[in-house]
Amino acid sequence: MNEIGKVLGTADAQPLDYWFAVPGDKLVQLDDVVAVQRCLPEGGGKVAIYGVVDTVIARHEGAKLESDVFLAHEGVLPLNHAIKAHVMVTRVEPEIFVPPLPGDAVCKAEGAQREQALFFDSMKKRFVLGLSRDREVVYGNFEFLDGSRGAHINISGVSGVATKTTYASFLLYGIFNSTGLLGAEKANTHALIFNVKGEDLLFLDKPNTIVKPEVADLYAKLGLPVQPFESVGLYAPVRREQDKMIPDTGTRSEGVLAYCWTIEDFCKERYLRFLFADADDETSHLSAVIDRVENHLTREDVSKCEDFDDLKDLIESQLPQWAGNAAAGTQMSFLRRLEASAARVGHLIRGKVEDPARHRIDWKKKQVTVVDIHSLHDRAKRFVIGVMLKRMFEDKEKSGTAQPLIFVVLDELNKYAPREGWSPIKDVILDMAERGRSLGVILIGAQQTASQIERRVVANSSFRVVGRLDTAEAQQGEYGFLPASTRLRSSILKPGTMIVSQPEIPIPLLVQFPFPAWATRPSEAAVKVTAGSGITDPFARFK
Amino acid sequence: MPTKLLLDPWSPDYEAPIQTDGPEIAAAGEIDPSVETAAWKAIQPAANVAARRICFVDGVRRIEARVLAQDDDGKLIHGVFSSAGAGCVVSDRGHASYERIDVHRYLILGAGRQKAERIAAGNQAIEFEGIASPGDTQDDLINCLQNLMRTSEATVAESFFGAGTCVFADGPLNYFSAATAPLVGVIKRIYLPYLDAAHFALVAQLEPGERTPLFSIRDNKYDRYSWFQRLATPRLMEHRLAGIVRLEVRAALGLQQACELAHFAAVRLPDFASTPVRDPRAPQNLVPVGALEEQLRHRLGDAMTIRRAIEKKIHEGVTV
Repeated sequence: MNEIGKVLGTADAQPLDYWFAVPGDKLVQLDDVVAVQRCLPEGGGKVAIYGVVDTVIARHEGAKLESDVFLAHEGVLPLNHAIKAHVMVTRVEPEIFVPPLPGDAVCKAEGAQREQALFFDSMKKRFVLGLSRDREVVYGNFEFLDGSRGAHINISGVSGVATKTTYASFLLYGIFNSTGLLGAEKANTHALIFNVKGEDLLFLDKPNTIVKPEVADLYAKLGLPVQPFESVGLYAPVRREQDKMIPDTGTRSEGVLAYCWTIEDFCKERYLRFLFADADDETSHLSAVIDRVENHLTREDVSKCEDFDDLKDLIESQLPQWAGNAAAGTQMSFLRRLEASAARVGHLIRGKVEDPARHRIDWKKKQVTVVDIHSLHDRAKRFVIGVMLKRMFEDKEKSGTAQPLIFVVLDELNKYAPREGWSPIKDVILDMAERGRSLGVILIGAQQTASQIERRVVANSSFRVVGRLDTAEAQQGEYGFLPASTRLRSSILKPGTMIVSQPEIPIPLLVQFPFPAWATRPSEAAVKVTAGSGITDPFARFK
Repeated sequence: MPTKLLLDPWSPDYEAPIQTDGPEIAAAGEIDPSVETAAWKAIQPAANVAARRICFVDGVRRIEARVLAQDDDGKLIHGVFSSAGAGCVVSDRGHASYERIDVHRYLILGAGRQKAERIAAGNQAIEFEGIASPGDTQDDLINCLQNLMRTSEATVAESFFGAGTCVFADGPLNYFSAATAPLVGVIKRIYLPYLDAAHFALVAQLEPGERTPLFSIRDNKYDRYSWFQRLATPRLMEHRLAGIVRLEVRAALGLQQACELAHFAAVRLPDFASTPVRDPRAPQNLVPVGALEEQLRHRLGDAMTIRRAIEKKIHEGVTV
């Protein structure tokens, strides 16, 4: 047992939190996991009280005036350094809630003790969340992710330094590569990742050439190999105003498939509503019109439409009949929006497509499917996400079982599921948050500010992750799960460090995750960058 | 014949206000102000005195409980349960630390009685050493405690004697047997001028870092050299004698060593002077000494806990 201090007697020790004094020759830092054995009277046995250090304080013992420190420095006033640390209790075993006694030895929890302290021992299935500051593995309970007891992960953090997407891909990497975690379902478990910024996720299948050798030790510690994602399907929107189906990417075209939808699919599958996905667009009148037009389109022969403009003209000409008794103003409003959408999204919806199956995003073909939408207009982004999620959701509903799981990674949730307003995508995301657990659809959502997200999306996430937060944002109620000291820390977190809260562990844990083993930019993948692509390096600021 | 010891219920804080720190021996002895120099004027030693390890020794005492008993003749036997602490702060090369803290407990009884007592307080067993006081009155008991504390201080101080050291003790040096050690007594208050008015006039004019020349005090018992020095400049409304201390060393040290110590003290002691915000006895109660007293009082333990433990023990029955 590695004793690092003793429970002190100048502050009240309580069953759920206590202070301990640290001798000068011991090092205690935030996040240390500690254990105290409390002996019960009259042969009542022992109670193990586990906890995590959340505050460490040093002061001059005996100093009364601020200037005493100078006198001590000059050798005039004898003062002692006193260090004390505060512990938030995470677990009491057996569950007899008694305070530790002043003088009881506080030990660093290691090995089996640490597993107990952080409930790792009771996790039947666990996945890696990262490493603690002292290079020990921190696990998450997979039962709270796979839907059996909970689902979803929500990640908040400032853009640029919070490395939200990288952490999301690290979590997926851990889930896919942990031996025995997914069992027989491993091959059928999928991930659908939307690449919303830069082209950083288009290199998941390439090894990272600048990864340092010592990172391998970290991966070994986590029980993970150092390699890129094994099975990756990459899709990028088809290039505008070109008949050839070329993916619209800057830094990589090799292995990237161009995606688009046929007008036939568009009509049959009722995708029209996703063109009207602006949160502020919704009025009940308009949605009634959209409903009716969709109905008619499913029955209409659209084979004559060569491109989306033709379809638009068809709708325009038929609207007076299709719209029924909708007011002229509503019809105009519908047309205005349709017109705007055509300009932004039209190139993704095509009449004549050779081998349409090749350009349909098939998230079942590979384990990880990356859908690039970063170059699209907002309206088109919403369309793609809305259509993809709806299709995937319907597919899962049809299959009727939760297994195998599908993970959906979506950044900038604030755009798609904002707190205010309504939109069809918000509807899908909310549906996913609330019913995804039973359908095996797991949302790994990320956003800069959780305070601007629909409450139910965050509330339904079992795992809440916080990267670097804006100081003002950290004070919002959405981060109530962070103790005050952790909130302060969230504003100074470095890239590669996250704070993770999960249902079983009463306090959020700080984790670090290793530098990605897969490339996150062209230079790391040693892929030749197309000249003049104009793509800025999204990870440059992490260097 | 053993008799039952009972508690005097008054809090020991209501102690007889007797002056035990002094006054200094009334008969000052024979004074010679010309031992160091014939010219009686302020001496300002050069600031670059040789560095020494500086030790400040002090003690505290506390009455834990007063007790009373009556012998068969009805004569009162006074007694006190008491604690005394003595310790040392060492300042060496820019670092100050508590180097030794001794705590003693005494059950001091009058009327020639003597009894040791062991009392369980908290998780500790406290041994009160039995002391028979030479006098029988309450004041005699407290004087007895004072002597025990002074002796304890002397024991602590003696353990720090050595080359390159200067030990500053609190008060006159009557309790020290060592005559040739580098030991300086610091007398915080001026009870006797020792010097005639003409010579004493210099004291008020001293500046910090200055001292009077040495003068010898010969009483054939504790012959010593002494000097006055200033620790801090008094504020305008304060008497010019504020901030003055008198120091003394044993004459057996020899004049040269005495001068060296006087130089050293004149240069170094003002650095340790306290300020009115820090100490009500500023500047004479030196910063390390004030801290030491506080530390010693702390080490005496919680007065309430100890008193309760004594009460419990007396309730169970203590005979002397």
